[in-house]
Amino acid sequence: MSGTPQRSEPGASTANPPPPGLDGALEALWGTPRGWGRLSAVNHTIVGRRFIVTAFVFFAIGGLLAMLIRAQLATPANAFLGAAVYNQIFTMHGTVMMFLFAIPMFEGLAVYLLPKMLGARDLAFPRLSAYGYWCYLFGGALVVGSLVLGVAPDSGWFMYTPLSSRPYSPGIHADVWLIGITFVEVSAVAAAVEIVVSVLKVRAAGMALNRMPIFAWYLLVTAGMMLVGFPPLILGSILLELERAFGWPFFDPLRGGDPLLWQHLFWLFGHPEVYIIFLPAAGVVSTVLPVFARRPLVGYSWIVVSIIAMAFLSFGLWVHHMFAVGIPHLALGFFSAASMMVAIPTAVQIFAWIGTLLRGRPVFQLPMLFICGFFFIFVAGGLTGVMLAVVPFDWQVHDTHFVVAHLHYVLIGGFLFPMMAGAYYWLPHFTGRMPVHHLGTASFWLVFVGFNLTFLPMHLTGLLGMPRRVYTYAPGLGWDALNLLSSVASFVMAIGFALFVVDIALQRRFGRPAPADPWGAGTLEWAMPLPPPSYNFASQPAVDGPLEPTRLATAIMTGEQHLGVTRNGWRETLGVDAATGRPDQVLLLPGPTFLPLWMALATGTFFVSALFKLYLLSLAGAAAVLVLAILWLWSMGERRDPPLVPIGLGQSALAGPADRRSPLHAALACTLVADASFFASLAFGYAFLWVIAPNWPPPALPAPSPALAAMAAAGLVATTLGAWRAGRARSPVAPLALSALGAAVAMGALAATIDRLPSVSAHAYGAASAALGAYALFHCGLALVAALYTIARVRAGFVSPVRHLALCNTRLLAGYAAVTGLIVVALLHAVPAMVAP
Amino acid sequence: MTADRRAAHGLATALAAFTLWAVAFTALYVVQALGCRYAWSPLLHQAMLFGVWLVPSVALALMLGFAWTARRGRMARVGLAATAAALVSTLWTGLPLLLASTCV
Repeated sequence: MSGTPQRSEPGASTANPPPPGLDGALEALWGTPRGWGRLSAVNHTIVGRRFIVTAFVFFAIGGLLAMLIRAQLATPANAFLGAAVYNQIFTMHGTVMMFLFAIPMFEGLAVYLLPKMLGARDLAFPRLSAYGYWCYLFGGALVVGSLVLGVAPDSGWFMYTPLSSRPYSPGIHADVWLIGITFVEVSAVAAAVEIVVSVLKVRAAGMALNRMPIFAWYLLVTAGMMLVGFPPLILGSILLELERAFGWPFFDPLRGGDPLLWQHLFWLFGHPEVYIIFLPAAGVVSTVLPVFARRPLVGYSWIVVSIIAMAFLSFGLWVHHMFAVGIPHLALGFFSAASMMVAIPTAVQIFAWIGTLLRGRPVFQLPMLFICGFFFIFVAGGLTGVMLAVVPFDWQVHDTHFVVAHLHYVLIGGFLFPMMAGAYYWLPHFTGRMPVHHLGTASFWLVFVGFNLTFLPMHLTGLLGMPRRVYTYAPGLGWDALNLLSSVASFVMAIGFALFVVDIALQRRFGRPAPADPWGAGTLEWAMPLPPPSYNFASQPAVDGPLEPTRLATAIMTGEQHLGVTRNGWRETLGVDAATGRPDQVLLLPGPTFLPLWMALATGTFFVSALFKLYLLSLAGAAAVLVLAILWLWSMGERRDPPLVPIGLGQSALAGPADRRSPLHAALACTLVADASFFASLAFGYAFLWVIAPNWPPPALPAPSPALAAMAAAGLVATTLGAWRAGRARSPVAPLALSALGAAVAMGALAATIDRLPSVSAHAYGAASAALGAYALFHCGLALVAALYTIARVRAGFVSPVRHLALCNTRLLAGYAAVTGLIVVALLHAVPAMVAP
Repeated sequence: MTADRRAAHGLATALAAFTLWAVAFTALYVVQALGCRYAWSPLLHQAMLFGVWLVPSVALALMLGFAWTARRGRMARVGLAATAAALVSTLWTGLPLLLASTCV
């Protein structure tokens, strides 16, 4: 049997032969070069696969670390690992699993599957996906490499201060985490922007919001959560690194800082993170389960409501990780109530799944086995979660192994089992071959039994008082046998995962070729040959009713649907109105390029240099990122107005319109949402220190300077007015110049304001105020660069009354800089005068 | 309103409703902290807390009424159900006001 997968032709028995040359012409357009050229790949299928494979490698590393942890804890007073090494290992286990496996695995699945499910040929920004992948790979390698060098983070994956502060964590251990994980977060935010814009703008014609596959809803909401949830952690990491590297005392209570600020910022990210991990996995369940239940998902609309509810409610739970820090009872009550509330939308989904099974005719195939395992484990984890939401109970088991058991039940049950179900479900899509069931079944039982025997006893050791994060324990406390059982069972679970890998390899080599739509699914990724061609669809389907991949496949393959042509060497995919799915443009996507790789290397230069305190080199890296970003943006757009082109089925659309409809405009809006979350977290930190931190008000405050405040405000207003006027003026150059001038004036005033602040290392007031000022300064700088860039675009002929995207984006950016800048000016100038005695 | 616009409107309603919940929740936490830090009188503190609890609740109740009148189409019903869920969430998460003292 050949090891090379053979591509099956969907609907081959009834299909007409494809138009001569269409497949070949599309492959020539959408394919990726061989050899070194592979590094220039931007195709979503390739980038998605890379994400998934890399995430799985990191999962294996995290799993090995887990086995070392269990080997150490198997017996009391064990000398297998010392405390210092153990600290690095348990920190890296959590870090790798959360940041380098779970999130990137979801991103990879989204990057690979979304366009195929949405009936598109690629994502909105192929180069952004590729850039995100390289940042993930380099950042992950940096973090994991530190383990090899013995300088891995050792303060826990949550990096609580003061343990992670310089006096208690010398060396670069903590810096590796702060800088490496921030590097990886760049990838996550890029992926979030990519996913939101792609779901909203890049779909098949006629696929209105309420016709989207439920998986797309899950990914849309998850990506939206990432935009809001990740910036607080990025901010916290920057502030802690500033404290460690330069002595800015954000978290030092002796100098007006507060360690609780770190906990707030971390858990503002950390709790939504749990749902960011769970929701895509729940999306897999909502996609796979109806296929094997042989009926459509029960309660589609209710599930959409519950996803949205979970997304919001999950942001109201962060303090439930801080129940033991001494917060007033009333505040604890708010967060306890929210923690219980979030169980309801979770339950809605579980009941919808059960309803689907009850009303269907379930077929019990391998993916369903993993879904059943998910039900059992996740519900158990959810119930212990409700227990932990009850404050008095939480106080009893806080920082014990009960919490370790709970979080593993939620994360392994809620993420890993659905992902393994998804792996077996979509493997025919990746490889073109069917699973070999017997090995998969054995793998399931080993993982399921091993998991429960590992973590169920931890509830008991936790209730018996065994603390987390200790490298050993004394004998005779009643923990010995339970720990030994956990450790032995963890190795059984590991064998199960190893068998899963063997099974995948065997399937890829020996599995029988997958037929078209092997599971009888109802989503468009099955309406293409297996494994998929680089362009996904020879023509993009028009969705006008229930999705029936087998029925649609013939018309798609014969080029009878949308864009069943090639022209001008364009990589075309349809862009649609977000709500209705009506085609409103033809997107012209970029081909293979090394630009994302170079930009990720420049980004890496910035981060790695900062890690080794080579700040000049770091600044050079940042400058290189800026130059490459400008080159990247400059390569987009045309010097002529977009032509109206036929898109098939008797319809026409503009090819690459450069106006508000462009995905670039939506991408900027999404980026600013993430930016606003960062800013809100910074403002929260500033207010938190004023209100809660000890040793406030500060010993020294700057004298009021109404002139500087007025100058900064005037500059900011000019920045936004100029950019706004440019969109309406016959010649936009003069208003853009005014915008640039305003930004320059505001920068000068803000720099002078920062210069007048008290020492940034003497008290947190100076540090927090300088951080706010620097934020506004940076954004004024961005507005200045945007105005100058747009002037250059106008002069180069890229802007016309029809092609005004650059003007729209400059206006949006300048407006954001002005609004946040004015808030910063108010905080820096007015608040000290109002609040100080 | 066309069916197309109703779809967009339904999603916007759902997002607006839960944004209002988020604002109410954050305001409760902020007012609780400010009142304790600056030692507001118990009456003022309680009044402010009940204000930031009940005003968004009333706003959500009004939104629910509007969503009920425009409930044609799947996405409009999503907006309606989300508004109801946001209202219940706001009422529920503020309930500790009736049970716990403010600054202990």
